[in-house]
Amino acid sequence: MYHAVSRFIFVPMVLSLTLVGYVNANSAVPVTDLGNAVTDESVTRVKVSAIAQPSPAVHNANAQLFDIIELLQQELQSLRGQVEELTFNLKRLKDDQKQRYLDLDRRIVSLTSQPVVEPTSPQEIVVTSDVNSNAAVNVSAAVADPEAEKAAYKAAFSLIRERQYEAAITALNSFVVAYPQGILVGNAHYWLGEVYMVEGDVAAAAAAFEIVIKDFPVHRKVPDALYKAGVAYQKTGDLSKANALLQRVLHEYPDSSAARLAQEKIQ
Amino acid sequence: MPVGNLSKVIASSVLVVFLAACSSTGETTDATSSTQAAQAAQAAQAAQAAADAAALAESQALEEVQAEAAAQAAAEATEQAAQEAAQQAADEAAAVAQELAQQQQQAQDAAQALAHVIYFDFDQSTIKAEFRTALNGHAAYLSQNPTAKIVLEGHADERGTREYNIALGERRGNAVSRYLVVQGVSVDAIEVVSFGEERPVNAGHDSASWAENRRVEIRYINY
Amino acid sequence: MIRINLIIRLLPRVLVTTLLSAVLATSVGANNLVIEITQGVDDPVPIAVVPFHWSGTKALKEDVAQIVDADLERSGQFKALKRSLMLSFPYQEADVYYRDWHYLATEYLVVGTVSASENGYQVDYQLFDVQRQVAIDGGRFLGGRNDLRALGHSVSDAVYEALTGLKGAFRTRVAYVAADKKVNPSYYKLLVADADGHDAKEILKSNQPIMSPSWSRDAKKLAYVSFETNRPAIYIQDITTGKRERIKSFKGINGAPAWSPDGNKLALVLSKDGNAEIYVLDLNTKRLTRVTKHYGIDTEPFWSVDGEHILFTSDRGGKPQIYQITLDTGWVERLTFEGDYNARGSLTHDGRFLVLVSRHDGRFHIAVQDLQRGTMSLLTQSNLDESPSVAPNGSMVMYSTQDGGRDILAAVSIDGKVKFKLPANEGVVREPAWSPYLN
Repeated sequence: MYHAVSRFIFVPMVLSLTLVGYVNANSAVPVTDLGNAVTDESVTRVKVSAIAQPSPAVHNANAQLFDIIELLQQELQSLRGQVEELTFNLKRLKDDQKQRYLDLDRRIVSLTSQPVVEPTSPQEIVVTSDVNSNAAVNVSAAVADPEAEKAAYKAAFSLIRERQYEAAITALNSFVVAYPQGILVGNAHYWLGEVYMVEGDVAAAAAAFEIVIKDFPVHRKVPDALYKAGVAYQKTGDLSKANALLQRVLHEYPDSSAARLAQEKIQ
Repeated sequence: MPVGNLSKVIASSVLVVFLAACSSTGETTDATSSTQAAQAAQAAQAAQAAADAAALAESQALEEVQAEAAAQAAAEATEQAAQEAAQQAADEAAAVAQELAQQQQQAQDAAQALAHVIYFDFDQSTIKAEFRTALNGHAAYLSQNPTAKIVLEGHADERGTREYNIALGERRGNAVSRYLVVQGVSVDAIEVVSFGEERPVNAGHDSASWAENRRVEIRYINY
Repeated sequence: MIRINLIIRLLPRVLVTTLLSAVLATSVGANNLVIEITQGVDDPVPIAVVPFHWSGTKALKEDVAQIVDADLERSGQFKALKRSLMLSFPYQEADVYYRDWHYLATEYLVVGTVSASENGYQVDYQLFDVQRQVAIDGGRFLGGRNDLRALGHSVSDAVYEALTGLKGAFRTRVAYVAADKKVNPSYYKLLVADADGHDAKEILKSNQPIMSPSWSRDAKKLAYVSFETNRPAIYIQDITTGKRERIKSFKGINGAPAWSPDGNKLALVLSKDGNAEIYVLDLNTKRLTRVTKHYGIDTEPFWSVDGEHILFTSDRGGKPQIYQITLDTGWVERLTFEGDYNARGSLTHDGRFLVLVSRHDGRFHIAVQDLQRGTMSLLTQSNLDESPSVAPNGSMVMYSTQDGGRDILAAVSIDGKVKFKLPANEGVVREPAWSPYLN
């Protein structure tokens, strides 16, 4: 063991002698051959003690080099630590991101396979509005052109499916402004929330889901909005608010699929 | 024969060794390095261990005296004179040996007078500048006294886990060891033993006590 | 009807012989631990343990029901009914009047008898559900003359398992280090006591530090570090015979022994190659294999449940954190990312939770990291908490902490809800190591 250590020590020491030889010509310390030092340790040791003792400059240079190595090791360790932490955080973010995409994909797929929600035909819109009959009544009074509304919603929604999220956000926002009393405005707010989630803007997402919950209390998207808002608040770190929303799903919509998901998320 | 002569002889012989060492590397020496070599020789002289130094001095002195005696015999051709000279030389050699022993004792006293405890910052094993003088003193003594041996006892404060602190204590011991080796001390003269947080000098639970406990103790097992 | 679910024959204790400086393992008054429950769950289950009936004439040395009572209360999950409140003292099913117990708001009832057997004692017990008015468990345990406490713990284990579904860990032991610097000569001792702190027995006494006790998987041997030669060395000692061997030691650190799950290997820390590294010693072939290789500190090995990984503390990332190495491939993965000091990791028996020492705001606490969720939570709020050791059933963690300026042992449940202290009656105690199941 000691041989290993002494080898480790002597190599930098000889290096430092070399260094001094170059740096301070006046000291005229003989430049020792590195190869010799490594191949013949005992000889080197004699030389080193004979050479190193007389010159305080060499002591200091050696000590400095020793410090430098130690500093480099510490620096390397702290960089390693940072790399480990960055890798870990990156992985977590990636997993999170992937989870959000998968979640959105799943919702879109279920949506397209159950044309109930997506307004591809007038009948389906009627089905949707049946859930909220009051809204349907208002809609018939307020909305001048239900066909235009449907088309605008469909356009915005197709942007989501094409994963043009920023464009979708713009389109959905214009939609809710253009058709504030529209029969699909609840859905639009909900999907705004979903897209904000994917984009990582959890605060905006939470706000959008809250609109669904508050302004469309009997909308069929409410359980999902409650769940999603809960998840969003978890991500913002507001755990008490998150838990309250998730508990609401459990209590108010115990049989919904959102309730099952909420159960998993409650901490 | 004056004592000064003897030290010159020793100095020149060390110089020869030094020159030989230098020339073996294919390098030449100039005036500066000669001066350094002379300094080295003086340092080396002081470095003799008491017993070794006495014996060496005696034998060298005897040799020299014998040579002188032979010269005297050639010049004066009297055996009696030679014997007297030899007797005188032997007395001188004894005096020299005594003086060297005194020097050695002084060196040992000086080493003992140096700080024997090196303190560290929390979770650190960097040797602080304030301890370098003491360590340089130990290094000089150890490299001049090849039979001297030390144990470096590494310690940590009570914070953190026990086995980690054992490793931390050893890292501190190793830092001191490496510092000494860089100064020319043989690795064989040093042993590192870590006690971690197991043997505090201060049993308190505050930062002043902790600072006292984060240390390396230099313990001579042979001077 | 009594269901005999488990019969344990406890052999009379073999007279202990010692080698070298190992000291006779006799019961000692000093360093006994005393339990104080400091925190329990909000709604412990009310249970009544009726004094066990003893058919003999001479009074028994131990009150078995009292042992069961204390065990169940210590788990924090049960609240035992005071004897002074009991309306009757049944010891068999025919004498149990459920209404009485229901009136006392007791949910479960334990009754039993102690009788003399050929070589010692026989304990029979029954457990009743007061609400449903049925016997739900029962059994018989046999033991030697000195095994009454062990028999009591066996009853506690059975009752605990019947009611919680989790195997009890009351009939286990704890090894720990005691020291007293105030007495002259100052000493270091390695002791082994029952998990409730009773019957402390001295395993080793030295005037130099003793560290890092680690149990063999059969709970018969202890590996530990002793500085008795002024250098650290690892010893393996049989706790019943006192016989011990010193593992070949090297220059520098010889520390942190940890037994592999199969009992054939010992992970340990050596610095013979320059600095603290983890090695694995095959106890049969004596072959030594180096596991880690880094100029940073690698220490505190702990085997994964499957024996394929070793957890360890390393400061290769600048600050101590817990890493895991896969022995086959040498792949190293960092496990902890919260806080700047995480050390001395150990796993619960199911491998789900990582128990560790973690520094937060400059204070050292016991923490647990859920390895599935990745979340870490602090189990203790005191300072200088260290050496966590998990009970074999994963329910509790024993650790050492500071109390009134001295080291004491304490325990906390894995959910942090239950806490109790085990202060020694003299000196300081530290480094608890909870034994595996004894059989």
